[in-house]
Amino acid sequence: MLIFLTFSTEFEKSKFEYIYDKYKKLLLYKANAILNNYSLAEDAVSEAFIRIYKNLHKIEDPDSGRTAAFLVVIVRNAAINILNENKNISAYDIEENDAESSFDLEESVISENITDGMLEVVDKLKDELKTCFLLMYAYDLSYKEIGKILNISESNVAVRIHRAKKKLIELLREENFI
Amino acid sequence: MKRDDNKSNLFFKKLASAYTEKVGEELKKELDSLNSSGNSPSLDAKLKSRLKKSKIKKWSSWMLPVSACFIIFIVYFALKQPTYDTNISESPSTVLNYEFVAAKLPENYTVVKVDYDYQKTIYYISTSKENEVVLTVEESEEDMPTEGLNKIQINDTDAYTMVKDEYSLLKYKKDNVLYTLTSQYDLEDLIRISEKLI
Repeated sequence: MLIFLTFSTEFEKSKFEYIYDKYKKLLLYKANAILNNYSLAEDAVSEAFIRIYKNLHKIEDPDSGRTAAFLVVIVRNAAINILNENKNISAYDIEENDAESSFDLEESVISENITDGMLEVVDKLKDELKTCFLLMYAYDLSYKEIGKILNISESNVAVRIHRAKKKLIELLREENFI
Repeated sequence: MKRDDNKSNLFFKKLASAYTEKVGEELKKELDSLNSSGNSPSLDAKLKSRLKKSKIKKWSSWMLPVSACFIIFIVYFALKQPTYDTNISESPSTVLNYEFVAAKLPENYTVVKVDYDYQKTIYYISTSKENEVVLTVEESEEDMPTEGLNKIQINDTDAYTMVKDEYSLLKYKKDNVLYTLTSQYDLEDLIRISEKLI
């Protein structure tokens, strides 16, 4: 058991242990899929669990799919960071020319119904943009909280979320969803 | 963080929530198909090791600042004349002086050269990855052109960015002083420096 962790309550301790035991294999599997190296995958998962430990209060139901998705988002980010470090690539990878005009979100969108096709569009986002987008909009985290989980600045979080939304709108338009 | 409850944000919330629900259900099925039982001693050991480092960090995060502040106080007054190897020529019209910029930079960033050009002060900054950032500071009462630039917020100040293949640009204006940062590489260094200067 993880007796070396300090928790403010027994409930927190058992919650973390439950999550750790339940999801560690899945997270190792996900991290290994990115890193293709079991030892590095363990590094990523252990880093992810540190972040999860620090954000345990954000997890309401450890058995829900929502929680599973949250944990996988964190471990994927940890794995990608390790991958980039090993390749000496900056995690802040700029592909597009952002000198295009800033789009007016208010005028874009908005469909009332979310379809499966729209969800596939979310999948097309680059990992770093998708992670920030989901943490903010699905899990209601602030820029500061997202920055702490992903170990990036709040400004970076803001830029990534802006880019994620812009890209989503472009893709949704291309597919004629909006 | 400012978040308006407008239609687009509600849409993104719905989209993100639906996405995580769907992914979550798929993950639950995947979890069931994996053999989740069994020990993982090496993972436990790595987590323990990381946590120890994290605890030491936490401990030192409140112990060290007290002693660090005291040491910095002593060192600052003892070394009030800065010693540095940069080539700095005298200029009467420096808007931000060298000491201010050098002290405000993020860790492992250093000013390697300072130039003066008419009413501009130009700092050449080496980053932690040994990239070069050029910071130009000039007084300006005119409006800063922002056409074609992306607006972001840094410490509650509007800043404007542009990313091209050849360079990245970030600029902002505060108290009638225009700050322009450019780098051959990514925007991150420019944002890091601006976060400290603003």
